[in-house]
Amino acid sequence: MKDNINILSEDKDIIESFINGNKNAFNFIVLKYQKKIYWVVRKFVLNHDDADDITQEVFIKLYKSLSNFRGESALFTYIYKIAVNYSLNHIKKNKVLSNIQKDIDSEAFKIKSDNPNSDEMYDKNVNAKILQNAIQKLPEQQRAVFTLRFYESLSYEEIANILNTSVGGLKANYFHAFKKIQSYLLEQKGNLN
Amino acid sequence: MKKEYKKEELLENLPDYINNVIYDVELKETIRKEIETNPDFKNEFDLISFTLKNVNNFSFSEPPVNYFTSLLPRINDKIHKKSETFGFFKNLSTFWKLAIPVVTIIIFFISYKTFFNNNEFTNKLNNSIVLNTDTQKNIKTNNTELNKEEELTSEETENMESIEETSSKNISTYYSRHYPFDNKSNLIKNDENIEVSINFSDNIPDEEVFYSTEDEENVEQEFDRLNAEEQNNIISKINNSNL
Repeated sequence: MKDNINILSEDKDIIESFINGNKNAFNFIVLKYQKKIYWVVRKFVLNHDDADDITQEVFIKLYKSLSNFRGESALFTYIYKIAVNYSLNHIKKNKVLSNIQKDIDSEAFKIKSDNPNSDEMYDKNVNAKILQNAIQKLPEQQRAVFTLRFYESLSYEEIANILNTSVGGLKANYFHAFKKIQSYLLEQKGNLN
Repeated sequence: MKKEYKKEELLENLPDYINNVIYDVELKETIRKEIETNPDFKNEFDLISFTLKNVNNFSFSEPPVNYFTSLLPRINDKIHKKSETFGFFKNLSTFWKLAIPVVTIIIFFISYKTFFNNNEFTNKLNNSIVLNTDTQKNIKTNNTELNKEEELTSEETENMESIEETSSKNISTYYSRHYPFDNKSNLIKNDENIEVSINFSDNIPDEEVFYSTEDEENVEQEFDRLNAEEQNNIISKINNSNL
């Protein structure tokens, strides 16, 4: 049993320590992956508050299931799987599109009133809103592939492992995701700079 | 050997080509040549590039300051709370493990008792129905018996009449023997009085009221055994009673 673990220790050592009863070992896992998990969730759900809730739920789920972790895949893949599943479930449940639209609108108006002369800042936020809406409109699978490939730069093999699918259709999903975003952006071209 | 790529395959690889994340040199070269030679493919390339430019311009706002510092304590708090809740439910499950069999037994017992009581009630009801039926039968029997009694009574009445006749005959015989002067009208009165005396003497056994011929003889013998004074008293009483 290795008790002298720290945040730089290898995942398998941290897990072993946790399984052997060192509950503090879990803290190292959180510290090690919290930013990665928060951002991947945030890129799925886009909204900070939702991302915060889901990130916490992901780590709580990890805490409960870590004792049963067999090490068949890398720990980060395992955590990603949980994070992606929780994010997709959240999107399904809460119809994030409408919620996020409200959040973005309020943020945009806030920026405009805070910086009345900053037209460039306002336009940037408008562009961001349009892009967010475009991402929100993507089908579940395309959205997952787009997020994991474009933002997380994961390989298709890693994405296939996380989404429990074959590599075959992932490139097509990625391409069609871009095409859909492109169509939406062109529709909204008048609002873009 | 140069690999042949389908147009769809090249298109699907365009985003990765623009992002410069294709590591297959041959594929990368094929796409580059296709962009140069195929205007439609070039158009697709431009559109995807435009999209990527817009997507890349978009950046997420940073989370609040110290967010990541406070995340771990909040996660630990939630885990602790969930453990408490889980502990509560675990205790609750232990409670139910005991409670469920006990409640089942109680329900079974109550059901059994209710069923048993119902049976008992049903039995009682059946018995009462049987009793009622018996009672009705008894009533019928009693009625029949009463009818019989009535019949008997009528028979008895007839018998009584015959006895009375006999008795009146005996009395008349007696009187004619002992009081040859007595007339028939007295005997009729005597008959009426006998009836009256019968009505008033319900407690008196019949044999004491209705006399057979043998009784008559016994009475005569008894009467004969009496002294003269006593005989006179009896005769005077009989006369007084209008017999």
